[in-house]
Amino acid sequence: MKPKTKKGFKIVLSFIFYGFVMLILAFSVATMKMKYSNDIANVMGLGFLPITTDNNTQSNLLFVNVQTPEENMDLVMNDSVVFYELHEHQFLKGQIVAKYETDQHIFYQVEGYDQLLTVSDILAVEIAEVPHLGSLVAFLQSPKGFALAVLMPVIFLWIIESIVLVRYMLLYHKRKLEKEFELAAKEKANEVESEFELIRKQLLKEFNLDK
Amino acid sequence: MKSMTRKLLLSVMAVVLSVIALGTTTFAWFTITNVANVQPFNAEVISDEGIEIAIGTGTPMELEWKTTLTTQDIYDYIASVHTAGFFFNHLTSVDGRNFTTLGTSGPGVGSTEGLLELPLHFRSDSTSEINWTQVVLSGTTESFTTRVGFTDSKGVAQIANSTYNVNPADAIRVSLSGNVASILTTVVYENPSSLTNTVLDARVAADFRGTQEDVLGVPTYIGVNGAVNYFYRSNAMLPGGADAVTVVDTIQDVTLTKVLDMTAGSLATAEREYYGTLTVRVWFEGWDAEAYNSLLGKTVTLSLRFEG
Repeated sequence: MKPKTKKGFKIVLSFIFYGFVMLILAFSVATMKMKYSNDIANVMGLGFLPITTDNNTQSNLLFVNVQTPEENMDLVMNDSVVFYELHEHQFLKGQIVAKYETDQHIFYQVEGYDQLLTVSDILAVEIAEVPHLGSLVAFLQSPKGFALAVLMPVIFLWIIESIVLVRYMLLYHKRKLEKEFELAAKEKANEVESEFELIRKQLLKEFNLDK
Repeated sequence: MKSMTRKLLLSVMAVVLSVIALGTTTFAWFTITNVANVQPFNAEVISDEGIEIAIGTGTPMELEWKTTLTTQDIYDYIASVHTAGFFFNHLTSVDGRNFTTLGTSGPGVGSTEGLLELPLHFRSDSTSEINWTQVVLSGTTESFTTRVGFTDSKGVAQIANSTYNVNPADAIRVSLSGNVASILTTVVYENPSSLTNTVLDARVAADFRGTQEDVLGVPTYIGVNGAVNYFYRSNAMLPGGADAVTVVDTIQDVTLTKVLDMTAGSLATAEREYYGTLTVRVWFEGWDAEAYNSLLGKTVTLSLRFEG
């Protein structure tokens, strides 16, 4: 392999490595927000969740803005919102079709759902939907799926990186020793040389005296 | 040597990063395995701003007023009233306030056995009315093995010793009784139609004997589809009074239903300007098409929300 290609390959590998670690970290931090079954995984309010379509045929991945009750007061008609259905124990989404305001409360009527939602019922507002990816994310968010697809690769990565580090440390130590030996040998040679110089000078001195 | 040091530093960085990733993912994995399921009954009864709530009997001064009625408060009340434990029984009601059992011969007798009755009290200085804004009535769909062949509420013939799916919440009714404009008003809720549920709704002197079948040369009524037909097939008889069934009218969804107008000028009796009581009753409607005996030992969860 040419040195330039090799260097390029190494840069790409580094990008993949750091990108993978960052992705894993972001996914893990988002997952840590899921303490209750009606919590949405999110990082700084940007969340994602698997959601089943109305006819239960496929599961899509939904990207959402996680909302606070205060933020929910300003929702408008046609906003697509996500809420947790306690009968079915699952997240549902629907478009706001009506907004009722009393002196103290705001209620939303959502298309396809027969009960009114309060500002605290609405958990998030939809940003985008990716078809078919819901099942994969649901699997990744399950204990088994997370262990297999996230935790195991990280353990593997940690082992590999540790081996690489130990190898580099040994190599570094070896090179350091070699350099020290080299320096010591050089010093020894200099010492011998200076001793020779002294002897030479002494001999010359004696030779001159004999004359 | 310089490039070696650089490589070593990069490698140290990579190991540190992978250790951080390992720690984070391990913690996240433990979080996933400990996700708590949100149950409707776990949701506490939280009164609206400026409203206080209490459960129990007695004068307003004797009650323990709270802004949040916890699950434990409700359990404690049920345990204090039903000391031997509470179990649903087949009951029926024409108005959501008075109840009778389902007898085998003739109409049943009046009963409160198997009826869950929760007296709720509300008081406030800022609002005079209480609205029912949400209900969640659910149970876990389970299956039971049919002892006999019968026709279910959807008109589907079920054979003997087959597995049949039922949900205990399907036969449950929830009624709320309170004074609205000085008139005692009762609102009754039943779950909407679903894969396992058929809405019974109001019946006035309705004939639940169903169609006739030739039994040993005698035309015999076999009961309407669902639990009544199953009862007939199991016992070769119909529940008493099947020819004139009257059950209370129900709603299947709740959207801002006013259930209580509190009495003004209650400062002396309740230490607040407005005070009122609301009785919540939960029962297993015996004439419901899904009122199978096998459901009596099951658990249902109920959550109610009130706003001022």
